Amino acid sequence: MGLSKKEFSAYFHAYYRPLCLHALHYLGNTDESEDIVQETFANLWSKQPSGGIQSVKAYLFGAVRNNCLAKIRDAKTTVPLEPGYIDDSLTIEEEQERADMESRIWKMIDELPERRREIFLLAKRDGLRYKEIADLTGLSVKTVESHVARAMQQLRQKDRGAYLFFFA
Amino acid sequence: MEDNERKWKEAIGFVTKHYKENRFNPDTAWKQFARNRTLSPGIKKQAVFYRVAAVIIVLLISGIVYFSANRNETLLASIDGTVYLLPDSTRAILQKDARLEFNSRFGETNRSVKMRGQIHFDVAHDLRKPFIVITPTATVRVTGTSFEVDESGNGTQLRVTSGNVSFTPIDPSLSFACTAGMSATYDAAAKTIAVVSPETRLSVDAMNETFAFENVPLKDVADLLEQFFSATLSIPEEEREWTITTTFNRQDLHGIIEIINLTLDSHIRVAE
Repeated sequence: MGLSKKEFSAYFHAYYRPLCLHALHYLGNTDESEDIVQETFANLWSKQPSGGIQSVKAYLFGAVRNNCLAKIRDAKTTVPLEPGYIDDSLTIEEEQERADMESRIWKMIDELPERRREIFLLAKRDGLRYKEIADLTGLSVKTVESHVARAMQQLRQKDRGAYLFFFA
Repeated sequence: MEDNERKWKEAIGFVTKHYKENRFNPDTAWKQFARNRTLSPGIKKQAVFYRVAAVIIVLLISGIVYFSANRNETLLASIDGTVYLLPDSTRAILQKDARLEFNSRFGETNRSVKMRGQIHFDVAHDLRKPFIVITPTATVRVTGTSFEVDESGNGTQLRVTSGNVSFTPIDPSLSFACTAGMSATYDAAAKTIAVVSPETRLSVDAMNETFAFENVPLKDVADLLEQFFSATLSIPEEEREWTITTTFNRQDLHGIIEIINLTLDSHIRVAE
């Protein structure tokens, strides 16, 4: 029996972000990752196996992985892959756990106050030193330091419950 | 646990390296997905027809859609007491010459507005989407409450009528929780903050590294010190509501904690 629209929507909302992050490990590009995930969901909807799917999550993760590898083989990636980008040592379950954790972190960064997020990303994503960020934003170095420390604190505290549950 | 810590750090590193705002959002993606595809198995041919038609229509109007997607809405007031209802049913009452601005994507992931002048807000409750007021000198964050923000070129003042409001000046970036009857005032030039309630007063002079407490509970003192010094403090549960009235001028964290403990015979500790 196939998935109803309601069930499909629930799976889409639950797994979309983790699957995008899963694809990102292969492709290194956010646009292409979202395209692959959307294609995967579209294929799932239009070609639902007649016997049903035992685990939709495992199916989706496997399908995204295969679609990414096919894309890499077709050499259509716009960003060259870094050496060792694909970690073959992880099992499917470990890849799923990693994607779930990364998804929670992504969402928590979304929820940071705008100013704090901006400074946190300047430091952690763009690699600017605190002094450079202070010069760029007109803030004191101490304030920049405080923003980054608070952001890390918030990410740790919010994820602690899930982190301990999954990994303790 | 070491392995888990390593995994967490790797995950943080990976996400921050690739993070882009408003990406990988399932709500936004679902709207696009459901709009672009007919979600009815077994009518593929019809779906293809509609898909092609939709693509043509999208191409025809894409310039207009793209232009309007990120347009800002601006609300102005030529007289005192001008009332506006925002898309989420929040009521904003603008005094003369006040200005309120929000993006056309307001309400999708959060409810963020920018303002100048004096505005009173009655914020519609939505725990999932904080209501965020941004002035040039401070950020105010709530989930549903009634408060007033007065922004001038020199700073920002907050007065809370009901509910819980978080007030964060731009520099120093310290967050204060304000409840009904409290006010918070930030002077941008002097970099001073004063948070006042009917029973307490707390002030910070960031340039001179001075903290002044009048009848402030130790839990609030600790919260401020944790933020200012990026430290973690522990207070015994029974001591959290003890209050202190004193001023610290250019003291380091350990010095402040020592004085408080000696004064009140409390047992605040700095976590290593």
